[in-house]
Amino acid sequence: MAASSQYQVDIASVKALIQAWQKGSGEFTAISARLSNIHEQLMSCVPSALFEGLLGEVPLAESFAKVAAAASVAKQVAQGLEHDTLSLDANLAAYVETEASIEAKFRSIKKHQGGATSPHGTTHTSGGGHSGSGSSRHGSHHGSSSGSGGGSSSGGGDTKPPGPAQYANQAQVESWIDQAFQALEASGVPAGELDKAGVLLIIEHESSGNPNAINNWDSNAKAGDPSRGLMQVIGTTFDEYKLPGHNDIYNPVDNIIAGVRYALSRYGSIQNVPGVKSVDHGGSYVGY
Amino acid sequence: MGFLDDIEDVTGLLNSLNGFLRDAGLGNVVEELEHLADQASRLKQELAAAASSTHWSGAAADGFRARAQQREDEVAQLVAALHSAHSAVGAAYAVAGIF
Repeated sequence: MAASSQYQVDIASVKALIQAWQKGSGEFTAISARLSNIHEQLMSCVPSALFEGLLGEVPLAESFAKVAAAASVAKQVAQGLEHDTLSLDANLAAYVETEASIEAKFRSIKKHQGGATSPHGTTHTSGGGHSGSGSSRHGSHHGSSSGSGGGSSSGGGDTKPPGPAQYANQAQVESWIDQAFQALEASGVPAGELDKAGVLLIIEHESSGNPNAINNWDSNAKAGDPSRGLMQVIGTTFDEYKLPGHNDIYNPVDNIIAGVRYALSRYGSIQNVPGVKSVDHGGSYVGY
Repeated sequence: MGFLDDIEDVTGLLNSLNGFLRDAGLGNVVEELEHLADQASRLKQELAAAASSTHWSGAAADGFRARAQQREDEVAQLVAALHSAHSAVGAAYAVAGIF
């Protein structure tokens, strides 16, 4: 699936969240201040003798106290949102730092390899611990999940990962890519089209190297076909692009095979995958 | 003091209350409390929408989702508190003849 409006780069998404939280904090602070002001005015404008005189007739003190109580709750909400914002700011800074690290590695390997493995003049890699994203996922969604193949985790049917998140290091991910590339070459994909660094970049952003990654929140998930695995492929796409004998969407090699075949079919090259292209031009990663 | 005198006393006190509140510019407090409750409700929806439209994963995201739910609950408490204040102050104002 082409990068769609449903997919937002994590950093932009988190920035929007921070703005919403900051706005909320400001407005609740104003609400609290206004309520406190109203309570203070109510208490000061009514003489105590009048309070006493109306005791039993009008529960002034009790009703005014409820205004003070509301002011207190509003203040608590504002402070909570402010605290959250500080935490979100720290998370955002970590994301930005990791993103920079990933892109630095990407450019370093690209320079080191001199673009030899890419037909497009550049190669890519990545690393680090950028937390994955992924929402619009590969290939047009074909409606219902068809499921196929012998793998228990193939596109249709049970979508649950076989285990908890396990984040592989870069060497492990590269090993999986090498195995996938061997299978792809054996199936007839020209070696020159297999851009290892680009695939690494995609995996790093999509799953952070976790073969059991699953996106449970986006439109594909709501449609019952969540993005899964290293390259965050939806089941229908996986079934369409997998190779015989590579039927397990959570198997890292099988997932890469399907993801790469889809990317080549959809974009013509790994280099043209929107996220790879964007990073290569100095931008941020976007989903594919 | 007879029954009618008592009524006159209470009526006088209420008239005084009415005057004090109006003189202090607090004649519209009930309406303002209602407005603030509406504002809090709107903010609750905005925060929930922002939280649900954020696409990220990992421990930080999980932690935030828990906090976002907590904030939503707190704002719901605030809305309830504002409605309670609105009702109570509204009743007091009504007795004082302020509508």
